[in-house]
Amino acid sequence: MQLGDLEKQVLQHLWKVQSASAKDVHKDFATHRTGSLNTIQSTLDRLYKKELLSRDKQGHAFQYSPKLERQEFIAQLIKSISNEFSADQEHSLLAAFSSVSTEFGTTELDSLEEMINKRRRVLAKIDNND
Amino acid sequence: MIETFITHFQEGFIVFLLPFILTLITLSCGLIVWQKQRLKMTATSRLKFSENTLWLFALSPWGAGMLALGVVNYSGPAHGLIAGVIHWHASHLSSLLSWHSLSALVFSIFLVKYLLRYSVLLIADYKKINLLKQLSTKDGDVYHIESDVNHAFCAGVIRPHCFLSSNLKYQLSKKEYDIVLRHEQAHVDRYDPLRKWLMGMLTAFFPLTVARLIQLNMSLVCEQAADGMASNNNHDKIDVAATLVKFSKLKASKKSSTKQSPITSDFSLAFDHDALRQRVLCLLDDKETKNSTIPPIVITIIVSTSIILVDSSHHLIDSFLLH
Repeated sequence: MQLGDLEKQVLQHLWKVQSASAKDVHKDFATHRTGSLNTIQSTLDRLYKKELLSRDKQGHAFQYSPKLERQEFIAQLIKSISNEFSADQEHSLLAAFSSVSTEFGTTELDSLEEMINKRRRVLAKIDNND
Repeated sequence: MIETFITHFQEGFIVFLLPFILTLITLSCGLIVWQKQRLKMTATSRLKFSENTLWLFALSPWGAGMLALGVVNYSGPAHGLIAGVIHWHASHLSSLLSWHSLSALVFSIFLVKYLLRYSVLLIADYKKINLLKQLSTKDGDVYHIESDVNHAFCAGVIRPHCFLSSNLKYQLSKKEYDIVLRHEQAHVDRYDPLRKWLMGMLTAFFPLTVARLIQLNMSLVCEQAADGMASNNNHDKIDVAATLVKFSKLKASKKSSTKQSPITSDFSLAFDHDALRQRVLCLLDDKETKNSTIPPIVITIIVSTSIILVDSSHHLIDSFLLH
């Protein structure tokens, strides 16, 4: 999915205000960028068709709101990138510093930390002897 | 004329296919047995596959098929010692209704299916990463993602990029942050997403368990290579290990904000826990780990035998099915 510059701005705006009609978005945008109400209306419509927004008819106008919160959307996007290649996220096309999905137990991590500290102490001893 | 062409084409496919399948089956059985033995060993004494061995695994069936095709085509029907053993004299007997045709057809369908799947995957990956880039802030070569969840990864098959959560700067020290950056930059320099994509495509014909085993080992190898590139000396190596554990702890303390449950199988979960341990142990170990020469020798024997058996295996199947 590709987002145009205006689409990205409108989506960012809706993440901030949560819900707005085309008129509201146009009014808020009028202060810092040009663009007719029609352009905003068609941008909202495109975002709705891309399933990024949901809409409710209130009176004669649609009220648009984001389907997912920004963080949730980004988290799902990352998850979908790591899922697309294999059901096992560990062999996804991502090369992650630490597992994208697996949550390690504290006991396990503590024991690894203890091993690291032990090794540090051994190296420090060797350095002091030198 | 057309029939002759189709006959030659399907015969070529069979000469390729028989050693391909023989190598695939033998390697798969060997790898499953090896994995069962491996799980009985401790993490430090386990035999580790080098990246070259993994590539050898993935390429062997294709190599066996191509070599057999080359030997049969270029050594003539019955001249020389090699041609005497790996001879092929079935082309003039072939029929369009034989198992040759059916096998060639089924294999071609699967081949096209996988090629399409991996091409579609490449396009989907490109589009999603473009969207992620648009929602991130670029700072030099790094894209910062505004997210409560800690992310540090390299993505993009054709043009890889580093993505880091913006709050990582505040949760890690300058040195730790630099280690994460160097690690991710190493993935970019090595084109690791492309390596993984190619490995996935090459192992697509292996049984699922075996393919996953090779692919997961490949992921581990890529991570270990990036760990190595992020460290220059023993002190650095310990710092990389410490950062890795700290990062995992941070991730464990902060659960994903998404309501979706993580899609990870028990198999990969177990492998991943083991992989983290192996990465840390490898970084703490002074000794250079020597790669075993056994797998490449075994693979070479399997490939050679599969090529030699091309005509015998063909005759064996002929005794059950219509030529």
